[in-house]
Parts: sequence; structure tokens; C-alpha cells
Amino acid sequence: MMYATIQFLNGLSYGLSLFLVAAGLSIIFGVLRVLNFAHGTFYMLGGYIAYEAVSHIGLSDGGFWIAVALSGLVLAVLAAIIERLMLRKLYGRDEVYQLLFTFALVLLFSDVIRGLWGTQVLSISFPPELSGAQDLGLAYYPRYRLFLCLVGIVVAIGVWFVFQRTRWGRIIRAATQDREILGALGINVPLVYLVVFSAGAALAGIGGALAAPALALKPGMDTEIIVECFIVVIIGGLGSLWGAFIGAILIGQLRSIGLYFVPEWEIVLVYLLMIAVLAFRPWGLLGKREGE
Amino acid sequence: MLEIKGLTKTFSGFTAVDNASLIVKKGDIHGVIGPNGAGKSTLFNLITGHLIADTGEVRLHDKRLTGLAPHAVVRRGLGRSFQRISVFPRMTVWENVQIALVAKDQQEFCFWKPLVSQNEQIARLLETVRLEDEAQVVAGELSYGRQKQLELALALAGEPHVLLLDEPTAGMSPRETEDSILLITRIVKDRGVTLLFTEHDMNMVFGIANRITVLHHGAVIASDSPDAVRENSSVQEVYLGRPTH
Amino acid sequence: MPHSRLLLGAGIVGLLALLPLSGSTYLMYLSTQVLIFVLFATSLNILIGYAGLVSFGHAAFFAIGGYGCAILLRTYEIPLLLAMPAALVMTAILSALIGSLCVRLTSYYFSMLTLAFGQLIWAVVFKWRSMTGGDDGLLRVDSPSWIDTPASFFIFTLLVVTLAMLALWIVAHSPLGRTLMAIRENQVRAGFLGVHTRRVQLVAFTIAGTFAGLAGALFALFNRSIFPDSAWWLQSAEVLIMVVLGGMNSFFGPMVGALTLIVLSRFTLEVTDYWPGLLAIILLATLFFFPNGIAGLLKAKGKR
Repeated sequence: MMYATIQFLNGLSYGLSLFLVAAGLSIIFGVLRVLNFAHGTFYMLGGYIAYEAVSHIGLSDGGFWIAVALSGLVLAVLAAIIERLMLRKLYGRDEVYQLLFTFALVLLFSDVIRGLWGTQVLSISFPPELSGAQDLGLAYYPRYRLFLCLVGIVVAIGVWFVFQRTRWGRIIRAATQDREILGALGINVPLVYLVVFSAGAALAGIGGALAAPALALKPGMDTEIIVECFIVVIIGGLGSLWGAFIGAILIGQLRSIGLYFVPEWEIVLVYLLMIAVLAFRPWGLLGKREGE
Repeated sequence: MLEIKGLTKTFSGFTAVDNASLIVKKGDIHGVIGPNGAGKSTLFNLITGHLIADTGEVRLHDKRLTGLAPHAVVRRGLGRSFQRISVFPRMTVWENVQIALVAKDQQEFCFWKPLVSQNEQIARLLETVRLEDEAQVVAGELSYGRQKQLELALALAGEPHVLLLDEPTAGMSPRETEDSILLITRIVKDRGVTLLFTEHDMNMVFGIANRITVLHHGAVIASDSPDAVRENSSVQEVYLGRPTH
Repeated sequence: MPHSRLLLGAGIVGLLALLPLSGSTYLMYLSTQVLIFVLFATSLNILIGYAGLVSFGHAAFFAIGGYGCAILLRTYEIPLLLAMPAALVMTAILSALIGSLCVRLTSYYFSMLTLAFGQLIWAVVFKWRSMTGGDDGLLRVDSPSWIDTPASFFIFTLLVVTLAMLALWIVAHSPLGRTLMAIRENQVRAGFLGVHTRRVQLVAFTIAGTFAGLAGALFALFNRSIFPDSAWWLQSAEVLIMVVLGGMNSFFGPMVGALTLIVLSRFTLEVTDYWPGLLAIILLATLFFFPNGIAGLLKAKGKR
């Protein structure tokens, strides 16, 4: 029972941090119709920027939180620059070029990170406020991971709130359903694109920074996370926020179950789930059927 | 020949096509009319398998079409044009028709030998739709009316028994409209094709159709000869806008 | 026109066949490598250039062909002339299986799925130590004695690649090739001409995968070894950039791209190991400044 609880919480915290990244990917796709291969790269950059910040200002006295905020900020600015100066020029072009463009970013930044931080594994300690374990009655569980679960839920509710209750959220939802409607409503479409791309990147950066104490920072984590995000949105349905949520939670649980029964090969379980979804509901659990 | 029975399609609460039934006989020129949003295009998409009906069925030559994917529907002898122009914009007119012939001959999986151009057939089709002079023009650069003609060639390449044309003259100038009506009626007569079409232009519909179906809010309110439809009181009421009393 | 092209091709192959007379082992190695990547890139271009499907995991099939051939040859000691066709059949089956999942939805899904399956193949190669040797790779993959020297292996590669390129040329210019382009232009219309669009794309995917497998098998023989890196996404990226740089709207473009990148990588890797970064810059420059690649540049010049 205790073991099961811990496994469940591990799966949940992993799934929820995956959601932070996959949600941004899905929203960006929904609005811009750009599949951002560099989203995992933004996540990775977020982790490394937090590492750098912490190594200068330290973890205590809120240092960690400043580092996390800084990651989000840097990513937002970086993504805004990328969108404004480069991506924007490709909107009218064949989708092949947009795909290749974001893919070029993956290659570029993987080498930038290698140049700046090297190839050895780096890590951040838990912030002092959240170190140690919490007694949950059934089991002791690391406080930081509990916190990650909480953040995931708060973000999910927050994004839901923005989508349902604010003007911006309505615009974004309208854009996801019918992009032509935006221009017709007299909305500044380029600005919407800029903000959505930048906010999605910031979310990924914050996700990477928050995950850093729980994971190790190492080369290759960018492709690892983007592949998992792709699986999340394939399972949940591309462009659907709740689909991303369910997909991420499912994958988190599946991985933690797999880690127990088939260690080393847990990723195969994730693929099997994806293949099953593709076979029976190719448009994803919550996605819309094409052409309707 | 083409039989539509009780087709219904609902989009999240809104009923686009409501228990629609109609019969198209061999050799008919059958027009479907109705105000905007009456469900004409949805009806066509249901017939051709681009949308899946909630209930009802479509039969061609007494064989069920309902549930088949679009490519399988074509193989049963249906050809169609689309309301929004749908050609291969970056290929030449010639290449467009070539593709249609490859598909008709079921050669699309043939990867072991180079494509042999069926010059004669392509030329004949282009002549039929009067595009012989534009053969080497890139399709996307043709005028609107010409692209519609090309679409007609694509639909005819499959040698369909029944041809579905979704608003064949929409967006055309009066001159182009007149030309294309002549073209379509001539083709239908020469080839012995059965024609089912939707149209905005009342003059055209009553001018060429020998049977007319009227849709209103997705339901068939009349399906009869032009004269009978013209006299039909409920048609006059809901569609032609003249109150009857 | 095709006649003159054919003559030109025959002339180039004839000239290449004389290369061993130069006596330069280095030149022979380099040319062999270029030939292998010419085949690899052209196989990918069937998907990108003709079908408009951008695969980010094409290296998976390169690796499957390479590992398949190496394992049959080394572990099971099957003669090369059987091992290579067997490896190709294996690659074809796996490409068809993976392809059937990848072409189910839109092109975006295709790109995501190819990357995901590419990484899956890499993970399997990496973790299945007993069969693939894991990250130690497979060493001592020995060719039979008749292609044992750089010169004889070069001639062998030249022969195989020439035949394979001819086959791919036919595929590109076949009814299937033309249909792929039509599907890329307008999938709905192609479907309503009676084309089973997904199945046509699947056939193309299988062909592309199989020829990538052939390139992979040659690559394993050429290096006398094979490593999990050959399935890693960077390998997919490299061949993808060869296609884009050379020109994806032309059959011969990827050949130019392969030649350029292989030669460039030789020089670059002597100076710096930031090859991926350089690849990214080459890709960005191509996308923004000459989107039709080198072949597009040449064509534009020819027209002027």
C-alpha cells in the first residue's frame, strides 16, 4: 500500500510536470498551427537557466524562486524575439518550412547549451523550504514532489480560468476553432501569435526550472521531453488542453507502473498506449475528428 | 439510379440535414435548391462520404454507398466538383487531368515503371471542357471560371454514371455562367451522364433541370418536375418568398 | 530531355568507376561515404519532396538495415548476398508497420510520429544489449574477401547505389510518384478522384524506408561496425538537411546536398565538434535565403 502510494505520487508528479510542457505545445499549435519541435528545447533551457541563476544567487532566501521566475522571463523574451524576427516570416509559407524552422532551433540550442554548460550531468538541490519528506499517513513523500503536483494542478486550473473567463482566453479559443474569425473581429492577430508563442515558451521554461531539482540536467533531455510531449498530444488530441492533461497523467502513471514491472523498458509501455490510441481513436481521446 | 433515404446529419445540436429522401433517375438533370444554409452542401458531402450520416442511407445502382470512404464512392461511379475550387494548384492543367486518369485506371500504386502519358485521352478531356489551349498553364494561375472547367474535367475523367456538381456557376460572371451552362448541358447530353447539382441561380435551375428538389432547414419540402415545384405552395411560401393565400 | 539526363548519369558513373585508378585511399573512402548518403538522402526525398511528408526519424530505417545486415552477417554468419536482401525485407516489413501508423492522420502527426518512432528504434537498439551490443555497438562486421579493399568496396557501392538510384528515379516518375505529388497538393481532391490516399503514402513510406535500409547496410559494411548513433535523431536531422540544402523540389538536389554536407563535415570535424550547430545554421540559411536549395539556385541561374 505504501509502495503503491509512492508510485502513484511519482507518476502524478511526473505527469503533471509533463503537462506544463505539453499544454504550451498544444496551445501554440491550436492558435499558430505551428508544431513547435523546439518546445522541449525551451524546457531544457529553462532548467539550465535556473541552474545558472541558482549557482550565482544561491538557493535560500527565495533564491530558487527567483531563478524559476527568471527562467520563465528569459524564455518569454527569447521566444518573442524568435517569433518576431524569424518565425513570422514563415507563416504564409508551406508548413514544411515551419516544421524545419523549429527543428533547426532544436539543433542550434542543443549546441548552445553544450557550449555553455558542457555535457556533464548537472543538478539543483531542493529549495530549503521544500526539502525533506512529508508524512502523508500512508507514507512519507518528498515535499518537493508534492509541491510539483500542486503546481501542475494550479496551472491546469489557471489555464482553464484564463481560457474560460477572460477576454484573451475567448480570443484564443476562437482562434483555435477558426483562425479566419480573428481578423474579421478586428483583433491584432500578429500580437495574439506573439503572446501565445511567448507564453507557451515561458510555461515550458518554468516547467524545466521546476523539474530541475527532481531530474538531472543533461544533453538529450530536450528530445526526450519533446517526444513524450508528442505522445501526450497524440494520445489526448492535438490542440485540446484537456486532452493534454489526460494524456500527461496517463503517461505519468504508465511510466511509474512500468518502472516497477518492466524496468528499463517502461518507455515501451508508453508507446504501446500511443499505438492503441492511434489504432482505435486516431484523432486522440479528446481530439476532434478531421473534417468535421 | 441514385437513391437517398432518410439522411440525417446533426452538428452539435444543429440539424443540417433532416430526414432527407430523394430519387435521381437515370438521365435526369436534377437540381437541388434551397436558401443559404438549407443543407445543400452537407447533403452532397453525405452522399460522397466526406461526412458520415447519423442515420439514413444512399444507394447507387441499388448498392449501398453509405459508410464508404470518398475514394470508394468514386469507384462506384460517382464524380463530383466542389463548391470551393479544388484542383491541384501547382500542377499544370495537363498534369491535373493526368492524375485523374491515373486514378481512374487504378494505377496509383504502380511504382515499378515510369508514367506513360495518355496523350489522346487527356487531349480529348481538355477539348470537352474547352481547355485545350491552356494545357501547359499552371492550374492555380487560371481564371476562376477556367478552374471550374478544369474541375469538371477531373470529375469527368472518372467516367462517372452520376455527376454531382456543387454550385457549378458560383462566383462566375453572367457571361461565364451562360457559357458553363451550355457546356454542362452539352456534356451531359453527349455522355449520357446523370446530373445532380446545387445552384443559387434560379434561372439556371429552372432552365436546365427536369427535376428539382427543394431543401429547407435540411428537410426536403418538394421533389418534382420544375412546373410542379413552381406551383407548389409550400415552396412558394418558404423559398420563393411569396406568401400564398 | 530524359535521354540526355540518362547519358549524363551514365557518364558520371563511368567516370566514378575510374576513381580507383587514382590510387588515393582517402578519396575512395570519401566517395564511398558520399555515395551511401546520396542514396540515403534520395530515399528520404521521396517522402519530403514528392509526398510532402517531413520525416524526422528516417535514420531509424537506416539503422534497421545496418543492424539487420550486421547481425545476420556477424552473429549468424549468413553470407552477404543473402544477408543483405534479408535485411532489406526486414526493413521493408518494419517500415510498413511503422508507416501504417504514421500516415493515419495529418502531416503534423506524421512528423511527430516519425520522430517518436525513430527514438523508439534508437531506444530498442540501445537497450537490447544481447543482440545489438548496446552502446558498444557491433564491431568486426567483416565484408567477404571480394569487397575487402577500399577499391573493391567502392566499386561494389557504386554498383549498388547506381542501381538503387535508378530504381528510385523510376519510383519518382511512376504513376505513384505523380499521385504522391497530387496528394501533397490537395489530399481531398485526390481522394475524390478515387485514390486511396493513405495507402499510396504508405507504399511510398515503405519504399523510402527500404532504400534507407539499403544505405544503412552499406554503411555498416563500410565502417565494419555500427553504433546506436546511426538511429539517433541527429542522424535523421543530418540527412534531412542534406535534402533541404540540396533542394527538395528536385530529384537530383539531395545528391548535391549529400555531397556538400559530407565534404563539409569532414573539414569541420577537424576544427570543431560543434557540427550540429553548424547544421542548424545551414538549415536556417537555406530556409530563409534559398528555400529551393542548391538545385533551386542553379535552376534560377540557368533561367536567367
